[in-house]
Amino acid sequence: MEYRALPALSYPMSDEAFEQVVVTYHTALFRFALSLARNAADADDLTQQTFYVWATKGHTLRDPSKLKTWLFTTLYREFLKGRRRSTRHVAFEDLPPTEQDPPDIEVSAINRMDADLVLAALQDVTPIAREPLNLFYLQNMSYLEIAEVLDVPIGTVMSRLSRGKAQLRTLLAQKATEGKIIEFPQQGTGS
Amino acid sequence: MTNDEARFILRSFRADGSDASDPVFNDALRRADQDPALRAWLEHERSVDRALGGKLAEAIPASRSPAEIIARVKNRRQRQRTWQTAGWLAAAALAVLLAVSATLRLYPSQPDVHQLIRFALTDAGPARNGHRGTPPTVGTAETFPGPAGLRATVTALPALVDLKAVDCRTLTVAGHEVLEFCFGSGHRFHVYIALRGTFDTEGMGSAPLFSEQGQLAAATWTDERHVYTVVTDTGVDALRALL
Repeated sequence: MEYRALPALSYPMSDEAFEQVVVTYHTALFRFALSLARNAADADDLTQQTFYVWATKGHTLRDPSKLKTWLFTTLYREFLKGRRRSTRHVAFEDLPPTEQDPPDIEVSAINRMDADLVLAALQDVTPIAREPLNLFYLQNMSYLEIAEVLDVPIGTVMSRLSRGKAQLRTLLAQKATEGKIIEFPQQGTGS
Repeated sequence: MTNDEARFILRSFRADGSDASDPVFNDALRRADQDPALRAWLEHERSVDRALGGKLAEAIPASRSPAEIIARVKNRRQRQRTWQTAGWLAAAALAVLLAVSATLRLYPSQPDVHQLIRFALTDAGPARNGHRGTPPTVGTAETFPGPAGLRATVTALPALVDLKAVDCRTLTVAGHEVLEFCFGSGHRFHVYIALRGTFDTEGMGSAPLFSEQGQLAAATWTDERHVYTVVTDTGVDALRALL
């Protein structure tokens, strides 16, 4: 998914410039929000709040090429604000141990899978590993950009990506087994 | 670097190869070039990542439309601006209120002249201290009030001396400045002088107004610019005679 850098914005931001940003980044931000909030209503609110922050504080961004990272960072911070109010933050150390070598999965198997099933598997990954995984797969962000958005060290991003990928493959393998189609015997082959 | 370490690093390598120039991956990529097993693993890993990325991109969850988000954000900003305007108006109103209040404090309303007289009768009593001496330019304590009489001598004071420069007391009565002098060696005369406009002297004619409180008597009169109150312990009749 490619994003184009937008021109530097003046303040107050013009309606056109604001709308352009919403149209360009709306889907990408919503996907990330959904991976964090895990329900569409909260994800919508998070996305909208991110654009609201952009509308009110976006003029402080000096480097337009940083817009994408700025928006994702803002969305993540807004999510953390809400989460601090409601639940305890799960530390990485709290996560259950993951397999070092995830189950192998064939590309052809993935290609046969329903897209929603893959998305559902991603949603089931432990949140702390799901966040970088989502940015990696859906936003094609580098580990450096992910570290900036999530405000964690590079090593932590790599570690979470590694564990997240392992979890995702395990979950995909499970879902593939659960959803496996049992074929009826062909006519004439029975006794 | 072991193959396990290389695999750990390469799991963060993006499938489209856009990290190829990142030095963090140099060693791991070089090792993959040299090790066929690791190279095969990396190729498989990138294929899986590409397939997963493509599959996830296909899933488009239902969400608010950009138009709806734009409308909602604009609406919220409009409401915020309205509140900000209301806040500014409230702040401006408060500032005006404070300014009016400060002005009233600086320029208090005109109190009745009887407030000055009551104050003078209390202030000149024996319980109060801090009274000071005679202005040198108006003669000695013994000669006061002098041949011209008490009223003429006192009324001439503002013209004779720079009131604030001489050794007098500066008091505040009902928010207004009042100056006080003391004269006399046997009987003491306490003279209180204020600007006329600061006290309401309506109804006072040219004749002095006499008052009493305990052993003290007061005579109050005005000229064009000042209000004068003289308090003494001679009694009203003696005071009347001295004027």
